[in-house]
Amino acid sequence: MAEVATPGSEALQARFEWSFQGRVIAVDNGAGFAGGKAFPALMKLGSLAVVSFDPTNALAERKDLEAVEEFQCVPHSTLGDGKPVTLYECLDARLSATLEPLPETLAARAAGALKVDPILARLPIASVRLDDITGLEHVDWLVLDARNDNLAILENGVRRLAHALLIEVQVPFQRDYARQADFAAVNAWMATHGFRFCQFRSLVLRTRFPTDVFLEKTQASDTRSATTVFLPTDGYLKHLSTNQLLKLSFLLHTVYRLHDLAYHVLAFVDPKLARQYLVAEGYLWPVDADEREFTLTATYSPDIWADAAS
Amino acid sequence: MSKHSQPFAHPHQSAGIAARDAAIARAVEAFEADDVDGALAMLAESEIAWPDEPRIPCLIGKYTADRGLTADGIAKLEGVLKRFPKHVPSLLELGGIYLKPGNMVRANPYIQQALELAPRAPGPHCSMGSLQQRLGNLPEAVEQFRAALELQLKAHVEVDRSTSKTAAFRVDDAEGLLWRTLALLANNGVHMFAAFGSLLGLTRNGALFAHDKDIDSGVPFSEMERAVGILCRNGWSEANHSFGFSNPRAMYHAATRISMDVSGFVIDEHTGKALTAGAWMPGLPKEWNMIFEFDRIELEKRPVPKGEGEAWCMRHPEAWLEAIYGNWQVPDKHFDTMVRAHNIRGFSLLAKCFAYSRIFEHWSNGNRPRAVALARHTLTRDPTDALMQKVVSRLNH
Repeated sequence: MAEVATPGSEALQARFEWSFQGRVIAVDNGAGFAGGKAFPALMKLGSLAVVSFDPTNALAERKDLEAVEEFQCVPHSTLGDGKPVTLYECLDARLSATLEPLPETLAARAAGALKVDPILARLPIASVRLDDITGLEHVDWLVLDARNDNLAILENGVRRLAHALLIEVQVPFQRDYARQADFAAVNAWMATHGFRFCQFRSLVLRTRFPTDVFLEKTQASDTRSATTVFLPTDGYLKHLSTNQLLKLSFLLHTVYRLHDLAYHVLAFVDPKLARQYLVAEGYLWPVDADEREFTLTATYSPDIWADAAS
Repeated sequence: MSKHSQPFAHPHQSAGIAARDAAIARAVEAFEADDVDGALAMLAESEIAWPDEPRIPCLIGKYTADRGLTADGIAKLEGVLKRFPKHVPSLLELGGIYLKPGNMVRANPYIQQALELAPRAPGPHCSMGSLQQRLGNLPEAVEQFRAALELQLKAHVEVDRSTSKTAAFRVDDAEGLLWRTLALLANNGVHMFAAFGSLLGLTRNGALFAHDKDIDSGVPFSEMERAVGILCRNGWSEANHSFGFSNPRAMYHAATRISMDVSGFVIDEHTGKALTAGAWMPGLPKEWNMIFEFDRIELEKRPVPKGEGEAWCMRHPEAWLEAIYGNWQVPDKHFDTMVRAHNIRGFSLLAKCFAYSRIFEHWSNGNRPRAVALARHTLTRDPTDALMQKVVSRLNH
């Protein structure tokens, strides 16, 4: 009798291997990805090569990242149009950006108590055109935060992004900075360059309850920003190489945990492979279509009182 | 419900009482013939004619709940109790309605009150037995069912009146549904097969039995949750939380109004035999449960005879049927698998609950042949049981 593994079991998941040539080339502007909790573990998989532009030098104290292989950090620099930009160093470091914080943003964070200029310094730093980066033939995965000029970054990276697999952009629904690219602008750029909106994630919500009194319970409903994920259109996916499709599927599965989309992309490679993925992830029971006979065994359906008796 | 007429009635009062009782009897007959709407219409008229007779709104409440309008049925019965707080049949009906889906907390006060009001009546003891069974307190349940039978021995019970309500079993619909369901499950990797009465009918007659009331299937117990999940996404729903049993699971197909019991099979760690329910309740010791045992479960995949696809089928149905029914080729219309199966392991507490409660139920409903058949068989389990000896003797005369 054939043994039947439990769908989604560790054994089955281990049997599904992501096999592609080379690494997924990622560019992370703002260092949000490299500074994230999941970054070291993802890099240990040995499948990513990451370049992080860190305009605020936020990763300077992260000594643990020095030993990470295939990771390069470019401090005091941002992607952009190639011209110098101003870094606004703020008292609240979380607001520091190469876009100018709006007065209301600064006031909200300071809660009206500050007597000093909340912008500590205005420093010129370099911006780099994505298309001009030497040694970078293409970008598979682009990650943009909301504190830099994202439309300029995209407009100056058209060639490198021509074969990109996934673009993640943080977009505001209530602007914090001057010239901050909103969802409509980003979505319009994507639509004219072969990408389509996939999902919002990591919503940043603000409560509109009073904050100067203690509330017994709270709620935050006002959406300030979200991370948007853009994928190549299905028409474009059809023309991607198997290797690129596998990379994209890997990204969707491993980083974003979007299993249905990972399956969808794998189906462009091979429907059988996609089906194996469904079984491995526990979405599909491993039906053996060739099974003609079956004898019930203790291994298959053990005595439910066995533990209690022993 | 009382079957005695009121003493010392005036002659014209007696005629009125007879007319009332006849009207109630006609409604009951209509209900038992599956004409629920007709029964309710008759009772509505009777309620106007005899507004002080609690049996009439009690039956309306019972039948209304029976047709699925549970809240309306409960409201009607609650109304009876407002006017007649000591109406024991209404208390028992309400207890039963709450007990069916497993709401023991709501059922308990009604049954408890009925027992306090009528401690010498058998019905409240039977209801208390059912409540204790659902609570998993099987020793107490057995005591209550036996108390009901003891009291029944002393009561006047109308006999030879088969009154159990059985909806017409549409054999073709049921068989088509059975094969479609088996093919669906096979296609999804579940080894579901026709079992028990369905297998008996298919093997002996080449078709399901017309007198059956549901279809029976089996699966490896390890596949039970998947099977139920797939069924629930394909037009089935679990009926009344399977009446508190973890095995078998009671499923209901709303579109066809056909029920199906799904029995899960495991392999006994000591004997290597295939075990199934019977009836298994979660959390009970193994020996308290009602267990059927078979030598092996061997299946093979075959094209379904009616429809498309393939289904898992018992490879040696004859041996399997012999294990449970004995001489399965000879029809026995009084055979009750839950009491008389040849392969019941021991005479467990749950087996006793089924035996005593079913004897009581058939006896109370006037189905003496079935009651005596079950009582005789139960006596073979324990020939020294004085109560069963008396029950058999009483039912034989």
